[in-house]
Amino acid sequence: MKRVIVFFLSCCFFLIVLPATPWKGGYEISFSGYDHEQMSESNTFSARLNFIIGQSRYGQARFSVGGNLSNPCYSPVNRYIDTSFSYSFQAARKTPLADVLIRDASWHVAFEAGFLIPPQKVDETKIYISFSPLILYFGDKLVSVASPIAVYDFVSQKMGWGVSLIRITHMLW
Amino acid sequence: MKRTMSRFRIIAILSLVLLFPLAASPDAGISLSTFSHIAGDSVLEQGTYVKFGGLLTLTKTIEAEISSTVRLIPEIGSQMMIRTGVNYALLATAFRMGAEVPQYPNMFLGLGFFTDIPEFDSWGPIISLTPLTTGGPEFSRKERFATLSVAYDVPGGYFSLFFELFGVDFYF
Repeated sequence: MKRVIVFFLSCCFFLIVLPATPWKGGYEISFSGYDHEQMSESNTFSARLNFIIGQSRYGQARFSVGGNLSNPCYSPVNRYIDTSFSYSFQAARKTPLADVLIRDASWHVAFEAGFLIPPQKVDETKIYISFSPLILYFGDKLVSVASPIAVYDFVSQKMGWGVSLIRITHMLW
Repeated sequence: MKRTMSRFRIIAILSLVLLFPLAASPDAGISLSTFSHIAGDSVLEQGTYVKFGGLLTLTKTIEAEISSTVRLIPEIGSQMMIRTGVNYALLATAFRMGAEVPQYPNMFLGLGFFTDIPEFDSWGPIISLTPLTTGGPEFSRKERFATLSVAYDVPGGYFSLFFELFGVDFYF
């Protein structure tokens, strides 16, 4: 019994340390739209896992992987594996929206580059770059709005554009 | 038909304006949400839309809404829909209650009128249900989840189903 109690207390002790460590990853959901001849123009929903792969006092490097799906009512339906690298850094400690936000937030900006990979037609992979000018950073949560996206398709060699309306990243571990 | 339409529009706008004085000290806010057409014929063409508008609490359980749904992709502003109406809070009050601690989650049932602009080809009643909202004027912000709306286009004679997965209201 004594051993069980010691083991239990040891587990508790080690678990207490976990919240003190910096965030390593979480999930991310976003809504975006694309104007590209091979893609649906309707709202595209994306759900991804998000990993912090590098961190300095200036910013964070992240790797994200997941999938996105456009509104199935309209064809063509966007179905892509969405993977990207991004780098975000603090632009200002206070945001202009401080008065309407409940929690303290700092203003971050981010650059992102990634791939949209169709699971059944990998050769039709598209590359995209994005700039997020307004990210509200709450520590355990990031909310990004109105991020322009440039999309390029290697096969058709056509360029397109898009916008990520809102992206919410919630750190979990 | 055009005559009926203009009468209907005037009645809708007048009803909304006449309801405003009911609010003793109204809570006003702005709202922003995603917007998708998910079933039936649509007054809106394919595209990526965003919905934004204003809110005003009228009574303890009723808030007025006027919103615009605008197409961003492929052409910004090429399609637009205006909606006015009232939302009824089903679970808790929608009004600032002062010292009393309000309930955080809520549910809203909405009834309103929509029309596309500037053509005014489509118009009719719209009913919406938001099964979960969190926050409110007391918290200076309210999040809305999974709002489902059914609209009936009177000139076209068809139903449309709209879905707003996520929306945020900021109160002044």
